[in-house]
Amino acid sequence: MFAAAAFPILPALIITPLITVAVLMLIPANRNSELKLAALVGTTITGMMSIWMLYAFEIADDGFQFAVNRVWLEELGLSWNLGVDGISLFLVVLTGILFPIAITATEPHHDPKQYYIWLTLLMSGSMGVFIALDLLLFFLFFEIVLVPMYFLIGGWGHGNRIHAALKFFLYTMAGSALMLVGIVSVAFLSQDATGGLTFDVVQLAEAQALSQTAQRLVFGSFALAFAVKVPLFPLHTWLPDAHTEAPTAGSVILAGVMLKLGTYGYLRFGIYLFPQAAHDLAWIFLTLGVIGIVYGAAVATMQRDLKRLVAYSSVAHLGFIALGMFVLNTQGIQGAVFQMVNHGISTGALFILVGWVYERRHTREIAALGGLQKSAPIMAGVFTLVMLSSIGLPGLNGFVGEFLILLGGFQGARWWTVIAVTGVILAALYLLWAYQRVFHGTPTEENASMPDLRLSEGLAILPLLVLIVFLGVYPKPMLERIEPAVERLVVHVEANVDGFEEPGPEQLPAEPATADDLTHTLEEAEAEAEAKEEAESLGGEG
Amino acid sequence: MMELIVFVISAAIVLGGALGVILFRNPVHAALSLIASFFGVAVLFVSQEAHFLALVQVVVYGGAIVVLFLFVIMLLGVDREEDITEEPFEGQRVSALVSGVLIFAMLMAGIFLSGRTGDDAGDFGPAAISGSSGQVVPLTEEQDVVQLGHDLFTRNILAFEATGLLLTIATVGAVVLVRNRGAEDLVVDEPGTSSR
Amino acid sequence: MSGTFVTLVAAEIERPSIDWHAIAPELILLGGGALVTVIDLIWLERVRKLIPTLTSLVFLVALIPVITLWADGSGLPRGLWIIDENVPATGVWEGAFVVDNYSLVLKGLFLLSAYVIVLLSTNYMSEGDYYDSEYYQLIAASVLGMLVMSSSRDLISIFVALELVSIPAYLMAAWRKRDLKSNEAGLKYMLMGVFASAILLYGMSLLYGIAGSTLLSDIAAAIDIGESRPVITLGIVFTIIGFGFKVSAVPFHTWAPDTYEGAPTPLTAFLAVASKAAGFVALINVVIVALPTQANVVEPFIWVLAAITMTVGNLIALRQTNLVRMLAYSGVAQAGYMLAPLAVYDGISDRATSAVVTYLVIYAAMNLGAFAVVIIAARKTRSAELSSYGGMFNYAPGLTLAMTIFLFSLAGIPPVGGWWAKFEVFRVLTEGNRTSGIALAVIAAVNSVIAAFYYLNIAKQMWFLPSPDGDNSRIAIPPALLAAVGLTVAATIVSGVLPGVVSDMTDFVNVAAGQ
Repeated sequence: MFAAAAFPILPALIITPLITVAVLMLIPANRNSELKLAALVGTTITGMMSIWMLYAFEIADDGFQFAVNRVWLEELGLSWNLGVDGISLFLVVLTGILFPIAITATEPHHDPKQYYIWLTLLMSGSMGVFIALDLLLFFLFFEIVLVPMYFLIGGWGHGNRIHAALKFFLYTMAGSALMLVGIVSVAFLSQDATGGLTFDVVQLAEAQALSQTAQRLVFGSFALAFAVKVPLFPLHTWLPDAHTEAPTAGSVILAGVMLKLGTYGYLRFGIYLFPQAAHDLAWIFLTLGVIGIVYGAAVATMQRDLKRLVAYSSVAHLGFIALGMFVLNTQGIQGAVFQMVNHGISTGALFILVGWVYERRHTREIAALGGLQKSAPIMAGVFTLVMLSSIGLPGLNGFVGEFLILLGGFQGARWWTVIAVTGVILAALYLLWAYQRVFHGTPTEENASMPDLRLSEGLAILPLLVLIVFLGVYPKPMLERIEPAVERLVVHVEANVDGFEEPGPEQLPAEPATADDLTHTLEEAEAEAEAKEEAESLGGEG
Repeated sequence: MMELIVFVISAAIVLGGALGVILFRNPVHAALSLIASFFGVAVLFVSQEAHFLALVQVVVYGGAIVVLFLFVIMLLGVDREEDITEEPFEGQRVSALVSGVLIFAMLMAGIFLSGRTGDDAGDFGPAAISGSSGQVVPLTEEQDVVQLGHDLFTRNILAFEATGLLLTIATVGAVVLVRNRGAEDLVVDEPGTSSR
Repeated sequence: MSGTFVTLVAAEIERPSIDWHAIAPELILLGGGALVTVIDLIWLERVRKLIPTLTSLVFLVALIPVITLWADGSGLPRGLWIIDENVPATGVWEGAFVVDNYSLVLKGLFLLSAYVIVLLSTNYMSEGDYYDSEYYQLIAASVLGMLVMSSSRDLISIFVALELVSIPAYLMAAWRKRDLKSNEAGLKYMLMGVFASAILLYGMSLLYGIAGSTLLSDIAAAIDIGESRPVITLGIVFTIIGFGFKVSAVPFHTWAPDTYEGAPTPLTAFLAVASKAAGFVALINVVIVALPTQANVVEPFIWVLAAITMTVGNLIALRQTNLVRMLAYSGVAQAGYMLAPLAVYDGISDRATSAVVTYLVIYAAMNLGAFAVVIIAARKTRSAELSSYGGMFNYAPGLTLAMTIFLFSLAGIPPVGGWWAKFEVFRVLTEGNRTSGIALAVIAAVNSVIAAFYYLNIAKQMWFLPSPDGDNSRIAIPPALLAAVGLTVAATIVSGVLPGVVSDMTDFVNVAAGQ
């Protein structure tokens, strides 16, 4: 059943970065280039392994693959229970891709040794979060990733970095402390049904032993922790600070990987463990998601700081993902998962670009920039492509995700979706306006002499550009891998919620054919958009 | 009836002596009224037929300890009147009063709400478990000291030995703290954690 | 006349043979302490440098019988006397002294903590020119009290053990006698301690009055009357208040910060870890053994104590600028977490005990470590002010990393030890699925976030902020202190990464009553 059961690929994903940390510790602190090389090699190997998993992954299998289960503390039912399904697979790959890119694309300004150690530790923890199938193990990784990120923001950030780091840490900790109570509660309350204490997610989800009130309370404790992490409005206030003050690599990882811990948490632990409560309370998350979309977009429009603008755009994007998840149908959730990856790619790329602008100009003030297109045409072209992906232009990856979410939304939560659509327009507004102010116009003295992208920088960001176009044009390989796991989740919700049926048009078969259908629909829609998009990106470059 | 009269009188002496300790302005007077209080307790012990304890109470507490108090007071020359109108801490008296009243109320509630089950060895109390412990033997006059010694050297032997160590170590420590090694003045700046 | 006495007594006592193995730890400590004293008296200054080493050796040697008793677990629980060679557990006067797995774990904890305390004290005492040999004798006496405490199942021996723990500590708190603050520390501690003892005695006398016996198991039998009586309630409340002072539970914590700040820092570590643990042991012994049927009285009272202790402790700790005071208040808050399992012990007393003991073990490692770093840092900065920790990463990266590990552990962030301690507490609180337990768990969770704020504040100072006086010269760490930090770091990490190591020991915990 498992193509790669022989080689323990999942533990390797966690351990390889740890080995890299050990290697980094042995290298003297002043050997900057050796340190970078070591970190790069370590994270790239991890990334390669995650990509290899894409091929080894059984497409039709909706269960957990590459599973590893080792007892850790027997009397507590604690185990090293790892596994990957279609939902987590691409987040693992995203993590594997973003880290090497973040390391290549940016340089620490001081203490490189510490910097790379924290970064690789962070990679190990992030991998752990996505592949843990034991609640407690998940919690451990969920907490562990805070520490390196705290030090990265506090040590290598800008301006008000220490305050931002602390705020980031405390917000997340507040949620997760209650989640620990929830985790322990759900394990104990299910003790009889599961036949002994266990923290195994699958067993707990199958047992469904909680009363309605208990389920809502425990789901609430989980949801709060994830809502902080996502972040959902009104718990988002840590995000602009943390994103803005973090070093570029920190922002990339924060937006690309760590925000997904929240959305992934909702899918794997929120909806899966507590389908009834998630169904009953879905309106809250739909509402918060939609508020986030509109609010994030509106606030982003008003930002004067380019990086802050990107940060607020994350709030809006994550609102879309929340909407998609809580529609509770296949398209919505599939779109949400797809959009998680998209957001990691496009926002990560945007942060890298903003970081490069900042390195060259030492300002992120939109008003102080202008006319960069003249001095840095290639950068402007790259920026255009990434921006269009973020807007959701057909033919690029962002469109596929948003389209699926809206499609699912119209079937399950029409009125929320109607409002959410305005977010698409608003996104175009704030991003295009920002682009216009930063890249168009006549450059002032300093902007005129800004150097363009170097070859190394171009190569660093190239993988992301390729992904943006590839996933936009041909999303099928990804969708067909996501689909079975999402189907399974929806069936699980249907089975455990009284009188709930997956919202969707009746003529649409509930069988896996949807992925192909969708791809076809998408491909048609994209065919015309593609030409236009390519013209634009070329226009930017030229 | 006789027991009640003895109890009321000696209880009055105990309380009066205790009040005297905190109300007298002169430390010597306070120490003397402490003796009165101890004496009252000794009488109560006698009325409970705990003769040995009564003896110890008078000899050790009334005799030795209070005399030591007086000794120290005289030697250090603090036998002047204290100003007790000034509160050492703000609100100390109020809080002392409040907690005193609270504890008193708790005790009263405890005594009256319990009813009178305790006095004739009712449904619970020593008699209820005398079978299980086997240690509660009605005391007669001759056995008083023997019983105490027996207890100390059997079931409480460890506690007894530990008390011996405790007294020794307390003496050692007290001597070290009191001893003055050369010209040692109080200084605030010491290595360590002091900061003010 | 005296002849009659002797015959009378001799006639009544049939002394069974003593189980020397069972009390070997106490005897070794007693004998070793006496030996150190004698050596000190004979050779005076010539052996002064050896005294700390000798004392720490005594602690380690006393650990040997603890380990052998543990290894020989089949005979447990055992008492002081052997009536029948084949049945060591049964005896006539067992109640006062019981050796079981629970007490052995605690004895090990106390001896190892004492060993670390001696490591912490060595340089502090000799460089500060204090009387050191007596100091170590006092520590040995106090630790002996703790060992006796963990085996006590009788009100009298609990009380005597508690005094044996406390009185040397009063003296040691005032050890820097040329420092006004140390005098204040000693005096305040003694006054509050004596006050607490008086309240405790009052409560115990009520319990004795009800049961007619000081043996905890007798008390348990006597008050098992299916209902609660005001007199019993009073006795319980006063007894718990008395212990509340010892474990510095709010509102009986007022002595702790001043005492912690004024006392010699190694002694502060001793008070915050070992002495507090001894208070908890006494509390567990009384609550679990004597009051299993009085949960309706004990639980609400301890629930309130635990909730306000963790909340008030954390809120005041937030405002502290002196690290020792901050650790003092954080210790108050931690006492709240440790009290929490006892607020839901009804029916799961073994689990509750196990959770408290686990917490005590992990707390000892991380808090001793934090104090070790404070002591090392004070050698350079001469201050415990928070601001003086600025820039420590630049001149002492290893120390900064160690402190960060301790702080994260105290905050309960995995993978270092503290999270496991918190998890055990949450486990017990939620296990019974009772509203009160879950509510307390939520309060504890909120509190751990508040606590994270000030712990991180310290980490921030050390990692990110510049040194206040620009002095970036390195700190020379003496070997004893280095060993202390190394041991505590190792214990903190191991207990978090492999919690099985701790839980294997504490899961056996089940307080055996005396007969």
